[in-house]
Amino acid sequence: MTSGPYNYSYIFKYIIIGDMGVGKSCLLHQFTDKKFMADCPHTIGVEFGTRIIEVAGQKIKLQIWDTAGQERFRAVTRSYYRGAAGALMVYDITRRSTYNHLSSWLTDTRNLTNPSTVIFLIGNKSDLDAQRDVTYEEAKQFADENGLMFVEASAKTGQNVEEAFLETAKKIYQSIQDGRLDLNAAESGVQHKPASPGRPLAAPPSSRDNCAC
Amino acid sequence: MSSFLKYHENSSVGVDEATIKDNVTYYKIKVKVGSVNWHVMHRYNDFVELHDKLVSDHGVGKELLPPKKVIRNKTPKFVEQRREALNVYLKEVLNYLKLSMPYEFAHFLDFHKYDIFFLLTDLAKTLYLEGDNLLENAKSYKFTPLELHAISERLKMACPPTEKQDQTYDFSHVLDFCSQLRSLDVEGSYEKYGTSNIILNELQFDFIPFKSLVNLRILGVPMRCIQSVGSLRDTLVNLSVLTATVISLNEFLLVDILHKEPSSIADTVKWKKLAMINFGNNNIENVDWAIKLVPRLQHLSLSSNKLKELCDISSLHELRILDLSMNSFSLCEKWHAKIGNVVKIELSQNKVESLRGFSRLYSLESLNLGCNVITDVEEVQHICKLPCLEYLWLTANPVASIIDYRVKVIEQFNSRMSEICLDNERASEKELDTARVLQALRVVKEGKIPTFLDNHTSHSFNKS
Ligand SMILES: Nc1nc2c(ncn2[C@@H]2O[C@H](COP(=O)(O)OP(=O)(O)O)[C@@H](O)[C@H]2O)c(=O)[nH]1
Ligand SMILES: [Mg+2]
Repeated sequence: MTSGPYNYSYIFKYIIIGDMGVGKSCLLHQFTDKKFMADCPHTIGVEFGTRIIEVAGQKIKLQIWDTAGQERFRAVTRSYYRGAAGALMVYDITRRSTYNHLSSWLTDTRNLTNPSTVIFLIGNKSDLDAQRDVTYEEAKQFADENGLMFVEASAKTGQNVEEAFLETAKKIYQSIQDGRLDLNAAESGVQHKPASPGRPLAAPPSSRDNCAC
Repeated sequence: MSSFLKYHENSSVGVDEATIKDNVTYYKIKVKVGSVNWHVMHRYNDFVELHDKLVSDHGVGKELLPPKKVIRNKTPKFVEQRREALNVYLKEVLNYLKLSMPYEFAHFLDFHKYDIFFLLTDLAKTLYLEGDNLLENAKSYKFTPLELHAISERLKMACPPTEKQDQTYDFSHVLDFCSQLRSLDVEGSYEKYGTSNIILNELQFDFIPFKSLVNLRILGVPMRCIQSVGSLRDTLVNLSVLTATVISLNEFLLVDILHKEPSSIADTVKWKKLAMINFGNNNIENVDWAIKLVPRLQHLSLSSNKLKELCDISSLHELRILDLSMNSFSLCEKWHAKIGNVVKIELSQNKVESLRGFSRLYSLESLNLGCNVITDVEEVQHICKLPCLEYLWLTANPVASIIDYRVKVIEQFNSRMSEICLDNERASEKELDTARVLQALRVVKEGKIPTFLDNHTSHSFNKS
């Protein structure tokens, strides 16, 4: 392993929320390990994953909290909303009920996160188009009305998974650039990582950072 | 372990006694949270420092702390009065700050040593600052069972809004580090931890946060402490469980499986990458069937256990090294049928009498039988035809004290005698000469042609 994994200048905190069984854990695995875990065990309480991405030449570490969708874990999972810079809100395009619950998830998110938190709506299981129960247009309209970003994705094929996580990060990064997101606020969900001694992190992208390895 | 978040209603502090050490008065503060208690020593000046902080940042009344006194502040009467005043002070402050529990106050009371939440906020900061360096150095990292317990419990708790809102203290940094860590050391203890009544080996924990662990070393932790191995079955390559009073391998290999019968075990419980197992210094009497759940095993070390017999482990096709030293093996019957292509066997400090059981271990290159009870030099006949055998130890057996022991052993390897390294030493020219004479005698006795005559072919003998 190169020193790559330890070179980054920001940490963004994400949460993934939505009903049980919509594919939250699978999305996380697809994003962090590039694998589809068909028999992913049920999440108890919370799960965790990380990955380093690059936005506008900056290396950013995503710390992602995957929550359990069941009501009985709500008390636990609610506490993880605090200080999230990004929230991925997931429903299953083949199960209408998971879509109908979005407004309640959205209320929670709005109440428990801060105004700068980026909320991204994901209609998961797009590979199961034949069993579709929610149209793209309908969900798109919901997203627009509530000012959310939106894609349909598949944790199985990987379609749009990368995009959802990356677009969210870009939006957060923009907010930092615009000054809309205050890095020093305790609950911004964003941390600037100071350079460790002997290993400058904030240095301009070096040749190693740029190489396609 | 303390969980102030859960039990703050059932918690208390008190200043029990005062002691004078090197002319300085220390007050002994007893802290209780639920059933957990500990104590911490502070001087009056520490109280003053804390108090200033609590007054300026947390609205504690300025007059609450008993005042300073410069002269005659060491008389027993004064110390006792002050102790009582500090006792009242702490109780009042705790009552007032129970819900917010400011970081400074928690630290003053050593919550960062004994309490799940406060221990983890400190750990988060350490790992936030040091984690990447530690991971990059790739050295193994030591977690106490206390820390592992705190992490496991914390994952099941709602994380509360705390006064310390600096993101540097965020629990994410702990999980982030755990999820990337490759080498982990855990060391248990039956002693009381610090000044508390916590016993590390009574705390339960799991390995769920460790997603990339390759090397795991557990020392002195009983298996009942482990609740789940998380994803170790997919990642772990080297496992050591030492001095843990383990009776059977499946105590660990199946630690989180309820029904431990072979029939109910699915493929998913196989240890997919595990190549080295060391269960040294335990109480294992049998290598049980669960070893089949480790199909890639190359190195099995069960030194210092209570083994007498080996079960059939021939399904472990990749097994090369078997360390069974310091056990109670005596017969070793038909080991070729039980173990596959093993290259090295350590059997020192057992009770082995005969070498008959090793006669068909054709892949064997090294056999250590030091400190056993082999008496007859003719036992070597059973292994002298093993084509790859090169290293043999018979030292500290009765046989090693007979006259001309080395020569008598080496001689039996015929044309390969110069290749044999006996008890760490190859045969000298002199020994070889003597051995050849002995061999000639033997040959004459048996009426065959001595092999040393076609010495040149013996030297080009090629091991596969
Ligand atoms: N066909 C299909 N199945 C999926 C997809 N994502 C998840 N699943 C399945 O949906 C089920 C629930 O997934 P899981 O990630 O555990 O859902 P969670 O409860 O939201 O974490 C599992 O059986 C997955 O195999 C997807 O994109 N396509
Ligand atoms: Mg899940």
